[in-house]
Amino acid sequence: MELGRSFWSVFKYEISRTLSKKSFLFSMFGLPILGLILVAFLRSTINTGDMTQQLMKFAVDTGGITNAGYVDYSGLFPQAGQLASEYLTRYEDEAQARAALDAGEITVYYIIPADYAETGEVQSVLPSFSMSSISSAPMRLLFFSQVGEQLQNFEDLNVLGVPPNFQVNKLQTETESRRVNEDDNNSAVTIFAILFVFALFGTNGYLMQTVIEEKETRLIEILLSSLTPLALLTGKILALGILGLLQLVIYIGALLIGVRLYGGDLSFLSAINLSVGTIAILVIYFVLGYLFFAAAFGAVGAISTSITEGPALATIFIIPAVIPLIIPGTFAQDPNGGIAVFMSLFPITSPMAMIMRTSITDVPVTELILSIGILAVTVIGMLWFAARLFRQHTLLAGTGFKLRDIPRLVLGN
Amino acid sequence: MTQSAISVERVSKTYGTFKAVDDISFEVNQGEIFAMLGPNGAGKSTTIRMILDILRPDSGKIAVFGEKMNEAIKHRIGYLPEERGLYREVSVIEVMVYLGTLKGLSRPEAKKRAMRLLEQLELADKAKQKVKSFSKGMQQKVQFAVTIIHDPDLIIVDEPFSGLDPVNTQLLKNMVKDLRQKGTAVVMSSHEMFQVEEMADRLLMINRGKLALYGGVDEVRKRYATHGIIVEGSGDWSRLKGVERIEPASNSRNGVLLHLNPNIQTDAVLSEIAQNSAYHISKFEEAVPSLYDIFIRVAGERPEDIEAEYKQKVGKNA
Repeated sequence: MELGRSFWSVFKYEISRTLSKKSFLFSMFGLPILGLILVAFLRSTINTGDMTQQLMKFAVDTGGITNAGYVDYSGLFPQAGQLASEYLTRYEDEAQARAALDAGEITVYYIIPADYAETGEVQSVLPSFSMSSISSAPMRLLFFSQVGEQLQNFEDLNVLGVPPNFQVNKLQTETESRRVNEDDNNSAVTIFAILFVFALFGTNGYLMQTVIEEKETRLIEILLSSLTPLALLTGKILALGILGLLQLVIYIGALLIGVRLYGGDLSFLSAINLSVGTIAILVIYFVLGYLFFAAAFGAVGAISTSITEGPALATIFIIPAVIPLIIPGTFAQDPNGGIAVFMSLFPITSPMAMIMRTSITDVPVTELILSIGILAVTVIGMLWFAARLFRQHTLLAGTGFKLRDIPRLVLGN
Repeated sequence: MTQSAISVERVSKTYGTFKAVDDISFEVNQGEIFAMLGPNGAGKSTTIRMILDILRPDSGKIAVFGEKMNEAIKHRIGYLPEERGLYREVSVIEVMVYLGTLKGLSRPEAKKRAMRLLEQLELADKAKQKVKSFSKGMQQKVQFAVTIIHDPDLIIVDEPFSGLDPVNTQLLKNMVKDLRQKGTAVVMSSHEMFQVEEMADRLLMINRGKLALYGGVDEVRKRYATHGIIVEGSGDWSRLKGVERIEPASNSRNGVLLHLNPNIQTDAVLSEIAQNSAYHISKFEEAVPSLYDIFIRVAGERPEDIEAEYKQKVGKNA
């Protein structure tokens, strides 16, 4: 399949033209920056205003942990205190705390070592790795409960805003390691999938816009006299695909910065343990998924008669594509069930469905091969289909599109 | 023998049940202006798109510079479609450079040529302005510049002068004539018959998908000439020897068309007018119809009549 030099001209031009668009720059850089500014603002709001009130709100936030324990070797926290006693139980030693944890009386316990005053370190002990159980909030509550109520100068309470230096101990055995990381992997992959959707439909939306613009301005006929529809379409797809990938990286980077800026703990990143195989699957589905939806959006652009009609028609692909994200419970409950398997094989839903499934369960290799095969063939078919529509329908700008026209447009010369 | 710029051989194209182009054959030579005429919907645009490989014919063969269309050939062609546009939110120079690179030019070369053309078209000072700030006429000049930015060997221009004022029309006409002078083949589709008459060397007329006229412009006009003369002046024209019928001349404001007896020569009529003081003439010419008249006549005919008449006039092997 000869694409020629013109393909690279399209590729380079689409990158420079898209990067010069204010709307694209806003979505790529503006949105994450605004998000970070918002996070910084929220953070600064917490540190200003009425200190007592703020600290009270700050202190009683237990980060969603309602039953925790602690073992104090420092002697600084003989009692949980009135404010914290509802959420925190003091144990004399680790054996008692462990017994309570095993019995399910508490979800996490903290070990405050003897040298806490010097190091500021606190150990957190969890039954298995769980994102929801990692929080410094109960410790803040304990400190506030013990110390804050007795201090007259509330400015001294600023020290309580500093998160303790956590060391996380996991009690699981090596053989259970895969299950331990499930929550983290699942969360990470879900976040990836959501950002992927944003980047995917954002950049492909631009692709569709450029196609419609070229039709509306009637530039398309001049372009097609210089290169083939396939070269034009693939040049656009590759250019916007790279920008989409860049956008994804920026979004992920902004998310991590945002978490850090808000005072969150990034230690969970080290707990994410995606295998090489899972990462390979993510990459394969990212590439194939992107190509499929890019070709689909290109086809929608080719049959759309106006810039307002395109997005409406694109929902034919968008809604089915995000269904797996809308029903994560179905995947969590029965990752190898009929619905999950069907969605993993159906090309429109397979990128999201398979990305989610692989983070939850071991997908049979045959299913993986079948799903990737179907998607790859569909990508080629969709590219061909889009190029055909491009050739035929782009010359009919202003004429309405009818479904019954498709065979003639695609199969005609 | 000089190779044809375009060779179209028995080409047909059907949309559904509508036959847009029906068994058309013609050739375009290098270094000539070739007019493509026909009423709206006659099949001109479809023929042009098939030449450019934007559409594929159902049957027949098309060769450009002796080859089937490929990227190298596309780089030798400039195309200005009837319905045309440019990216509106982009600067003029940027869009020209991009379209130049699509024709195989490097960016610096495309920029150099774009600036040179903009200077020629008196738009150089506006090179960095966005296309949307240009008037329709200015955009049309830019589109024409884009068509020839890569020094093509063949240009296909559809209504190149529509909407332009007389000064800019003349500017573009001169550029087209210069291209012909340099050996470029120019295919020009136009409804402005006087432009075709003035500029074109040969023509093709398509009507309802079928070839209706094909040949040199003068040759076609003579083919449709009646045996008569057009005169402007005074006198009783009906008393002239050999005049069978008189009617107002369609392409002359005050003239009349004198239909002559087949046995009398036009020179004899002129001689009689000159010798007879009862007649005064300010204009005397052979009754060769304008292309406008021929167009009106041919476009109004049924395809089967056109075909029969065409074969009768130029022979079955034409």
